[in-house]
Amino acid sequence: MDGKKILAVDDERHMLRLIEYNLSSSGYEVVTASNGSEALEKALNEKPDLILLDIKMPGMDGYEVCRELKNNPATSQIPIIFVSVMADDEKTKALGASSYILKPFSPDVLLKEIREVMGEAVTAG
Amino acid sequence: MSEFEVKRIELMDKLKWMRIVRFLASIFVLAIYLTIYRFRIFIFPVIPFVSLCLAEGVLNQPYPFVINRVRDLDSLAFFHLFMDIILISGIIHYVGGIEISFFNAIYPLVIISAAIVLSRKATFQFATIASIFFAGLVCLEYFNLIPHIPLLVGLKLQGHFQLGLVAANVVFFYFVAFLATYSQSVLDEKNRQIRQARDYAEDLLGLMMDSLIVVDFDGTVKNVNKAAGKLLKYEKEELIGQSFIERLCPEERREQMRKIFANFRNNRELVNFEMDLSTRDGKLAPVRLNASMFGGDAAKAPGILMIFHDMVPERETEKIKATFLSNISHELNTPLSVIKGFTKVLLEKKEITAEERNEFLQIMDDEIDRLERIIIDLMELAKMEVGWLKIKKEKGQFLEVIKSVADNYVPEAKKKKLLFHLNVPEQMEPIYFDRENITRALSHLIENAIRFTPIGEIIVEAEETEDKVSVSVSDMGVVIPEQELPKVFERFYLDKERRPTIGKMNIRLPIVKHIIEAHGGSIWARSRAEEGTRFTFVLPKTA
Repeated sequence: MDGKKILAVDDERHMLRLIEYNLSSSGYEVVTASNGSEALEKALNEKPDLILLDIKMPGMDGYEVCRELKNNPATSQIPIIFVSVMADDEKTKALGASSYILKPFSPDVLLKEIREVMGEAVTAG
Repeated sequence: MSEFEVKRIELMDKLKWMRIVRFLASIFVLAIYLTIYRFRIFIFPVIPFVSLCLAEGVLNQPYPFVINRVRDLDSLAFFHLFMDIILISGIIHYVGGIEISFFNAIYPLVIISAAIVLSRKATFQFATIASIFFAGLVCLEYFNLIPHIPLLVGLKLQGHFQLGLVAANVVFFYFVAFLATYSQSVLDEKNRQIRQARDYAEDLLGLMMDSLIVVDFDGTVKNVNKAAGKLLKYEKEELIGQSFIERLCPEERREQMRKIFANFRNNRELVNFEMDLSTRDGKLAPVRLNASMFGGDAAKAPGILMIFHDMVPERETEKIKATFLSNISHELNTPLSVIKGFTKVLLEKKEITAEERNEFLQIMDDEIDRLERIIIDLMELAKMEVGWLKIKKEKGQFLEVIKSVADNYVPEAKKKKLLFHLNVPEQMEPIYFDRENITRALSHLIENAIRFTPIGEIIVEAEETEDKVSVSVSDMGVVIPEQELPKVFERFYLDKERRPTIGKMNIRLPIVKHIIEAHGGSIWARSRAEEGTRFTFVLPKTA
């Protein structure tokens, strides 16, 4: 838990603040991005241990960002959790993301999911 | 074949019976010539003529030497019939027909032919010509200028009797002419009515927007209308005679359609369901089928009438509405998630600083405002959809309303560091308008302007003419491309990439348009690269 860096991507400023607060108060280091290109940039530069990806964003949507991340060997290993109002199990798997969370979520759910995915990543990697 | 040729063939067709008679008469004369030796010398002069008639009958060609001279069909017909009269007169002479009314009956045939192909006037002319020829013949024979040939009857009638005969025949000829022209005109009228009815039916079928296909109980296509051809991408002729099931039905429907066709005779079930039809280029056209039997009972060449309603527009609308609903869901969900999230944080987290608490409560407050705006917009949209958004005009100070609305938005503009200008006259005449709704409309326009202008200025202008007032809201924000301009007022219009900050559903502008138009006014938008976007609406001053 300590020292793990998470990149949170969401076009909603307040949502981003919520996620950031919840994660940082649980001991994670948080980096934020509010659109697709910023997300790709930060993923490359900051090398986070996990990416929380909002799906419905203007311009590049979450699915596209995921595709780009997975296509780039520098970022393809980073686990991704989709955050959205709708669940699409198949698409999640197809794009190689690890999991998804539905909005609205409680902070517990968010943290639990993160821990699970990170836990797996640690044992796998 | 030229049109003249076509019409000539039609003409010849109409004169068919006359030509048959002529042909038979010619054979008759020829027979007499060949058998009754002593008449040869009398018949001889007529032979060339007779031969011509025979040739015409055998070759099925009208008097050939005439064709190239006579270009006008009426003249052609006239000429034909005239020649017939000559021939008939000659024949009658040679067969002693003057006494035998049987042969005189041939004249009426010519007259009837004239009624069929020529005008009423020409028909009576023929009656006259026939009378002249007949009377002439009688005279010539009476005065022994030409020999009387008693073929079948060995007597020569008395003068008075002959006069009476001529008179009777002439009257008869005119009577026939009258009867024939009358019948012909009735027939023509009936034909015209039939043609009119048929054209009317054709027009109706052609104008129908739904596709219509008529099949018999075997499923063979009997008729299709223009819309069907267009929908399925076939020409009418390509479909008639084809099997509906084989050609137009996709595989999975065939069994069902076969059963339906088979059962139609027995049950008068209403057939009404959605299905797909196979088009010529292998695609599927979604339609709603409505089929019924027509033709009354099984005895009267009945069939199955199928009407296919194109479902593509409905599907489109369904898709748009589905997208709209999903967008609404998202729009509402986002602020709710934030509010819920921070509520939980405030409830559960122990170590929150006073600053953080303030920040979170402020965020929640903002998001609640946002929710409120969305819900108000949705309610307006719902009212508009259901027709509840009614305008009530009252006389009031229009200028006042503009100023107060503008004032409302000055702080917001300031916050975004936008310049806000109000360009209005000192005074404006009071007009009839719905204060609440115009406030709403203007507010929406200014809100949009502020929202979509990242930097620059917003100008609100007003002016009045004798019978109208006009208001414009201009911003220097994102430019709307030319083709999209009319669409911005459409409900559910989605503007994806270009204006990333436009809430993903278009509610406000349609509401504004509705309000303005309900006043009897109009609204439009103009957007240019260097100038930004400008919305202008005009209202009539009167009630």
